[in-house]
Amino acid sequence: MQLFWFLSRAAGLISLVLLTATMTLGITGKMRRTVAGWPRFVLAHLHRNVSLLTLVFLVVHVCTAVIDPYAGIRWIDTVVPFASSYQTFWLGLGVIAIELMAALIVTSLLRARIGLRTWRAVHWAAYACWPVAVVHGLGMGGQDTRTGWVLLLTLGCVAVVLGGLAWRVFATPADDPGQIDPARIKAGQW
Amino acid sequence: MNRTQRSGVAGRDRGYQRVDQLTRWTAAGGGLALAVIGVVLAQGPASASTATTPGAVATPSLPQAPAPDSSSQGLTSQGYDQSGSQGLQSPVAPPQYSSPQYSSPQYSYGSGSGVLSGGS
Repeated sequence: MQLFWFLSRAAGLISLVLLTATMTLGITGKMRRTVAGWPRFVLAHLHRNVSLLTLVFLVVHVCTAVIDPYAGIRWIDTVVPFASSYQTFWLGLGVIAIELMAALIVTSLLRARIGLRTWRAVHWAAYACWPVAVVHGLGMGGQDTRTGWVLLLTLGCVAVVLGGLAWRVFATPADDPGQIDPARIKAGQW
Repeated sequence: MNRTQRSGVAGRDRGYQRVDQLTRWTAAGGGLALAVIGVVLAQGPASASTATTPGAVATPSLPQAPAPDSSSQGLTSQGYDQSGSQGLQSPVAPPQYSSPQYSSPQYSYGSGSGVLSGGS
């Protein structure tokens, strides 16, 4: 019976790593940089696939946590934040993170229908989803979090995202060939 | 479709293939990592704890065995004897005293009765 509990914790850690990869791909994609052999549309496609894969592992994480009888987590607790009697606050953060993630994925799949502006507005929620997920992991993890390699993994994820964010803030995006430089328009060169 | 367009389409297809391959590898790696991490966590110290304080780890423990009855089971130096033998077992080593003021008592078995020596 303990199998589900360990699977849930393992799936949670893998989800965090995949969510970090999704976040990093999203941040770096905005910089319009490309690697040889990996054009932007390929990276965008990878970003989408990794986010869907994250969702799969999150489903495993949630289902195994509910199936396991120890914590007594109900299905309703996975939908309504802060409804669980078990570690109410930390579990509630996890529910919020999953719901933000679900909103991001659904709006991304419906981007053609809802329009770019709405999609972009919702996509800003990614910047809330990831830290909430990290705090949920640190809070729920308990002794796991104090285990060396788990802590290292979590700190590694934080470092990767912070590095990506710093790069996005301080580095200059590469020129987009599809966009006209406003300076050139002002100078009458266009 | 001219040559440039054809190479562009081929490049796009190659890119998508590369992404699909990488996605499959990531999924397989994730599945493998799920199993490995699950096993590592199961063997870790957290798996043995049953902390219930808020914020502490909440790891289920194996069902606790009922406390053995000392009247029916023997005691050994390592705890309860699981062999099912009856009666009190003799300790493997005599108790050691480490008090700095007293030296360890020495037992002499030569005369058939215990003679304490060495203590002052």
